[in-house]
Amino acid sequence: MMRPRLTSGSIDKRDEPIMNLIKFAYRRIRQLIALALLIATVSLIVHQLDTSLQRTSFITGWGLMSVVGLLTCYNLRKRLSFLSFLGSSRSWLQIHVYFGFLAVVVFLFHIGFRIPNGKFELILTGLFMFVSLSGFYGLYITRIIPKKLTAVKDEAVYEQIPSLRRTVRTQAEQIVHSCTSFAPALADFYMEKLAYFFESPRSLIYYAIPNGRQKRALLLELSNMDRYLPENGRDSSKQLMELIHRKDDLDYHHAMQGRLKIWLFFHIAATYSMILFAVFHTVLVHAFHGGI
Amino acid sequence: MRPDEAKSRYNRPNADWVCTHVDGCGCPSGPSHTGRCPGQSACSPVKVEMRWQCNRPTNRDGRCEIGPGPDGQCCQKNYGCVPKRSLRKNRKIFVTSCVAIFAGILLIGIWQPNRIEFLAPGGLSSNHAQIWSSGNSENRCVACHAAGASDPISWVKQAVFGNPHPGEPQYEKCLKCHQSTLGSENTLIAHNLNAETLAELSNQQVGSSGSSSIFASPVNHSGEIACATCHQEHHGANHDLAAMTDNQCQSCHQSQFSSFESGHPEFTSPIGTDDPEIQFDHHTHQAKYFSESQAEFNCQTCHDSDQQGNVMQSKPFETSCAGCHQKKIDASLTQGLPVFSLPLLDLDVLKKNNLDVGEWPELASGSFDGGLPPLMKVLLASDPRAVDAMKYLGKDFDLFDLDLESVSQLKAVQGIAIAIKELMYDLSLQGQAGLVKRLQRIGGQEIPVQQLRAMLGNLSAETFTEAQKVWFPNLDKEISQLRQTENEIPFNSVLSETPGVLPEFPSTRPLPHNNAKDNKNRIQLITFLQQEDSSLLAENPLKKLIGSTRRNPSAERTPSRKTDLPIKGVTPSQTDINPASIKPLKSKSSLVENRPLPPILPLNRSTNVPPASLNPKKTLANRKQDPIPKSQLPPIIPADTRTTPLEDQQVTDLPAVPPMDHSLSRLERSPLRPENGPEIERIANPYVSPRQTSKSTEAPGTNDQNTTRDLPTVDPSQEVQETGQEVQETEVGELAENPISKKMLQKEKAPKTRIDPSSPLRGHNPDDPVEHPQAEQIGKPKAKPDGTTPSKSTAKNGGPKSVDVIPTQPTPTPATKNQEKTPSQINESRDESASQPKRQSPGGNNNEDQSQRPSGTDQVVRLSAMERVPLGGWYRDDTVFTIAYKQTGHADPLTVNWYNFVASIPMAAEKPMLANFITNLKKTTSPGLCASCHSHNLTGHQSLQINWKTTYRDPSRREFTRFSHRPHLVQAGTDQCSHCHQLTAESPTIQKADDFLTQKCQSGFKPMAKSNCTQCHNNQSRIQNCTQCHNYHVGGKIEFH
Repeated sequence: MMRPRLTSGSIDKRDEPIMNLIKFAYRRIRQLIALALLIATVSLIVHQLDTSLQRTSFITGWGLMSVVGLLTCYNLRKRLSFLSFLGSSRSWLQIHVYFGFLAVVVFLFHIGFRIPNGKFELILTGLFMFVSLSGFYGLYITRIIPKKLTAVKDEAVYEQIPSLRRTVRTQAEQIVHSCTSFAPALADFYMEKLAYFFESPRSLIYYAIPNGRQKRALLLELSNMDRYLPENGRDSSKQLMELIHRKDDLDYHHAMQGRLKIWLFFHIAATYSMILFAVFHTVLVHAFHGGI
Repeated sequence: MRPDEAKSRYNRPNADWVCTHVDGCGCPSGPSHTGRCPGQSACSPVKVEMRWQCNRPTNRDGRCEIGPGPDGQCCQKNYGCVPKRSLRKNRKIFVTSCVAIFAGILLIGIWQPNRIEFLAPGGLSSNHAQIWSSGNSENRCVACHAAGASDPISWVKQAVFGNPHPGEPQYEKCLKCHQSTLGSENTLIAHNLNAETLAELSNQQVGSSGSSSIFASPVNHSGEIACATCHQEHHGANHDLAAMTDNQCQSCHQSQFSSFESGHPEFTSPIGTDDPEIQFDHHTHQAKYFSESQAEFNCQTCHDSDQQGNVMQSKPFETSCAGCHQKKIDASLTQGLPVFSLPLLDLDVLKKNNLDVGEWPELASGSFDGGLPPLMKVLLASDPRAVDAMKYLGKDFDLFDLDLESVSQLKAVQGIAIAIKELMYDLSLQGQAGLVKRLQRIGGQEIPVQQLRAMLGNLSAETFTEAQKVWFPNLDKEISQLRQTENEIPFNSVLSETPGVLPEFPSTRPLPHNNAKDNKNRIQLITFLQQEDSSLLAENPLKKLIGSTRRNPSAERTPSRKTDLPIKGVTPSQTDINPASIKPLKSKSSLVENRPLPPILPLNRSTNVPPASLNPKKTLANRKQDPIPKSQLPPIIPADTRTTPLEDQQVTDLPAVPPMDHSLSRLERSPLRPENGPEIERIANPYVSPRQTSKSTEAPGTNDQNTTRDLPTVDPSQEVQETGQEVQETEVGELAENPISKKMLQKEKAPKTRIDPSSPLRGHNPDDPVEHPQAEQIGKPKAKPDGTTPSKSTAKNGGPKSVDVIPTQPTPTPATKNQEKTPSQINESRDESASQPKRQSPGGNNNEDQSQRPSGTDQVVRLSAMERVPLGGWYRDDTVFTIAYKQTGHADPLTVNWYNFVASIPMAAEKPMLANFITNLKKTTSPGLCASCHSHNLTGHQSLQINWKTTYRDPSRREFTRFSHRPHLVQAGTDQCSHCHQLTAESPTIQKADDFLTQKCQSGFKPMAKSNCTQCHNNQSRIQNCTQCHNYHVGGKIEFH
């Protein structure tokens, strides 16, 4: 079967995802090349500065401050919607990502590829490294987690997950109440195993490493109970199995979306702390500089 | 209210508070911004007309159907929602908390007392560790940073508004400690060079390639660059503050290359092959001298490293060179360094031309002859009279060449003579002070005390005083009167300045002197001459020179002075001279043909007869036929075995360098000549003096004047041939170029006359070529090929250097002597005798002296004036009217400092009074042969700098290029000097010439090439960065730890 020809004027809707992927690939290549050129430019400038006996640390320090300021503006752009004329938030995110890489390179030139041994500068370096690493982590999870969540059957808004959990639990309770007369074993099993699963939140281990172990274990036990249930009881068991799947998906959503939100806690907190230290570092450097 | 709020609930994740009512009870508005649930006040029934009514707003589902109860309570249950903070709010709190924590950490760190520990960007290097460990923490930063004394508020002001700190900038704080090592000037300029030099070097280096950087160097308008630009601190104890990359070096050095191995230019300076300060041809020494002597040519024999092992240095002369060169140098020093000497003046000729020089010693009068020692010319350079005369006579004038018909020349001679007397006058009155005054006047600047001290060489204040008393007894009166009249007529006011035209030399105002005394002296001379035996004159080889000069045997004579006296002279006796008997010298030709005998031919004081030596039977010709048996001669005491006092030790090193011109003609007239008889012996020996006469008077009957002493047989000619052979061989060619020397060489080649051992002068044999190389000239008729006598005795070789044995001869009895003396003279002589140390009696006529001698020895070793200072020092030789200095040997301080003094005078070689000194230094026959090894430089002030010592690079002084032998000498392969210092295949050409200063000598090494270094310093070893061999800071001192 021949694939429809891709033209700019008329693109088959079936090919639109492919085209988006191609665009994304081209865009990433372009941006990576731009980043490489930017890093090469910075390296050349630093080399020239070093060759000309200029104070490289001064130049790279101010360059780093500028880059950090630009990265911080992304948050400002998100907050201030009236700054839409400066570009979309998506574009700013791209800038934030790639200049984040550049900031790390400039920082390495700034510290001379060695770890400072002063206490103040060590804290500042630690903060910067933490911000950088948290940024890389955020970049990673924002690229990985959405794909994982997309693979899950149901989608849920993070803020609505508690309500949806409650709904699932209510539905499970209604099913159990309805089959108590003819399938008391199922009610006992719910009270013994499933009630805790539907009512309580998941453990921290699950939030750290989400997995389906508990879900699979409950489903196995529930399926093993089928032989002891009447025919209508087996239907109720299947409904409970679906609710278990539903509840586990919600938990997975909650855990994964929580990651996407929690890493920002640390990234932003470390960023502002780093900026505070960096500003004072700049003051110290200029107050104590030894130039003519 | 938004339109959909009444129908749907929605999440407000951006709000600070969110509803916790998860079951969707219906709270469309959500929590308030204060976190309150609006459901709690959803319905507050109001009483209207006695009935309670529901007032729930429409956005909260409006009025309920049931309505409030009769008690006014809402029928609906409370939502029971406790709003919670949204995730955003929590994040804000978390971020704020974290920032607050870090801000707190920062504030604590800033305001704590030990804030330096917190804020310091890192530890200091080990070189500055003392700053970190000294003082309290507050002052640590202040040591380098002015801001260290301020508070954080000031830091902010500093960063924002500039430099509010009143303190000095950091680089000045750096220089406070490092000024001693970096110097005080141009410290902040690149390479510590001044701006002009830097610009010049930069212009030289501007080449094909452009600047390596697109950024300019961080220098200010004065070209200064901060210390911290390169020396970045706070990188820990092990950080290398001086580390610089090659790229940083090439930020200014535009001629770029990748590495030392690849692209570094070849060494431009010929290392090891340049003209060395000590001219030493390694190649010739190895290939010729060492191989001939079968000695090992080992570098370590002459070279050793300094304490740090950085620089290889030559060992001292005594260790490395003296073994081969000491003998020749010593031979060149046998003549001493005359500082003051009187030329021979023909007073009659001067008198005839109405030119009077006043009192002049009789022994120094006769026909014009002699010149002035170079050192004396230097001293006379401060006298305009002498300078003008020297301009007229020439810088190398010799009075023998004087044109007697030229009144101008005679006037110049008169000026020279008066200048000499003024010099004697100044020095006799002021001693060292007078000498220093003249030197400073000549040099035009203050002379360092150390140099003056060395130049004076412990010159006694009495040296010139005593000489003046002996040579010019009435000098005070003459000079004082002269200077009174000098003010009336300037001496050189009439000199012509026309080039090429010799002006009429102005006549010097005649010196006021005692004419009667002068006549008396002259009469004494003539009387003595008339007393000479005519037969003696017939036999005397100088008879032809005497011409018609006749002696009056009846005239009573007294030697005018004793010759060879120590500094304590004896007042010359005075006798009358018949002026009528003085025969004036007519011209130069007549001088040559009728050269007179030396005017001083002392008589035997006791007998008033000519000395026995003047007897024709005792002439030189007869001495050969009347040798003294060897058994009767005292043994010659070897120089190295003598144990006599130092001043009496004999110097056995034979003279190899001809004497100065002035001394030669003096020697011709010396009373030590055999013709001058035993009286001369007495005069020559200061200890046969009126002192001894007085002693004889005190101990009558102890004289043994009739005792005949056995004299040793000495063959000085043989000694001369042995010891002086080397020098003579080397100087034959040089002397042959000199017409005067040619005559000397001819005479030296003539058979040497053996001295009659029976001659009373045997002990001080004038024919001995060692003692008096000119003796042959004197003893023989100076026949020229054309039948005339040689025009001038110009022998330059040899000198009084042999053993003088005092012959036995009749000596005057004390009574006789006392008869000749006045009572005052006798008393004076007694006093002197009492004050003088007792020495060997040369005449053997003193019982007291004889009693002091070892039994069985009846000879006395008599030394010349110079021989009495074998270890160096000042001496006065009255035989040649000279005050001279005997050098101590190689690197004699006096000689060195005199050379330095004259050489330091700008354009010294162009000045007539100083040129002779410089010329003398240039001669290959100069005393000490200094210039044969020590090169010279022409300084910017047109003065000479004599390189007495090799100037080694100072390893503690930073130069552009540094090198240390130490790490190389421990590496296998490079531990051999020849690894890098390779001799050339052929010996370098050495320009041996009369002029040492034009002689160029090369070390004989191949120029060192970069390939010598790249064997190890290459791209593989990576030990080739710029700072491996080059310094940035130049000129400062490195502190060795």
